[in-house]
Amino acid sequence: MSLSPSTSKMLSLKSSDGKVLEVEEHVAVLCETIKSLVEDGCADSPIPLANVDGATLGNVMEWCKKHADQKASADDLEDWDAEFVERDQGELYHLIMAANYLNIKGLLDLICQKVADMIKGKHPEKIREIFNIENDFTPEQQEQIRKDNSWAFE
Amino acid sequence: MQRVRISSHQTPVHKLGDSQMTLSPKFRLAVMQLSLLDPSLELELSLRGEPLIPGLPDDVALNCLLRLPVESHAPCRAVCKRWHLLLGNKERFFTRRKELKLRDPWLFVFAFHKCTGRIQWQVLDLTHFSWHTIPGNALQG
Repeated sequence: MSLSPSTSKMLSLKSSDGKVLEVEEHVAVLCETIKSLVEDGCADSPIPLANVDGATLGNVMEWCKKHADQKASADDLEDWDAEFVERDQGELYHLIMAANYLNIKGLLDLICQKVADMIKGKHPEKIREIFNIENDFTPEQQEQIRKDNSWAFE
Repeated sequence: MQRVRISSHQTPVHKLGDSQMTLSPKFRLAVMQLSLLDPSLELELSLRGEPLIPGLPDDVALNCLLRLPVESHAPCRAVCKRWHLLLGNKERFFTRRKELKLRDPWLFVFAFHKCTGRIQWQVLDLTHFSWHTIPGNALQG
């Protein structure tokens, strides 16, 4: 099967909220989930993607399109990616879930790294606040951790 | 097993054979074991459905947390019990990193101090260009 841009045909993808997106096949197959469907000849038209909403699917395909572009240099992609992940947390979570479901390793790596970057260098209290995490330590445990880590909070 | 002599006045030391030389972080940090929480709690907490990061499945959250640089581990351990268990033990952290096939941009160097004759493992974190020392008594087994 040839997946080169010149011969690429169009695939229709249908989001969970019923939006249909026309995407070039060589772009859509960056999603391993879609690639297996195409290779097995099981790609219905449109391909139903029950776990991805229309807005997120649009963003995911924008990323795939950029990364399927063979003219893009590594530096160019890195800059583009850095800008791509500048979104609010809700959007990032939707993207991460979509990348996981569609099995796009590059996109999953990118957003997981972004989440790690959002965590690093922050105070525990701030991390709990941003990520809505409950502090489940007892006061005694908390005191022990504070003692062990006192240098880390200065 | 080869023997190398550091200086004529010191007892010979064993040089690790190639089969034992490994650049992966397979050391056992016995001294860093957590006393605060029992590791079996991890299973209990995950079975109880306490998410690592609310709103994300655990495998995805783990994919994020295993990318935290070591200098962030101390403050992150204080976030909640599950993070404490994940980040409190380097062996567990690196084993899980490996399972996820994340590359370790760290260089492990077996260092020898000329004057004191001390031998120890040094780790260069190539992402942050910082050196770390692994305590000698942690390298058993």
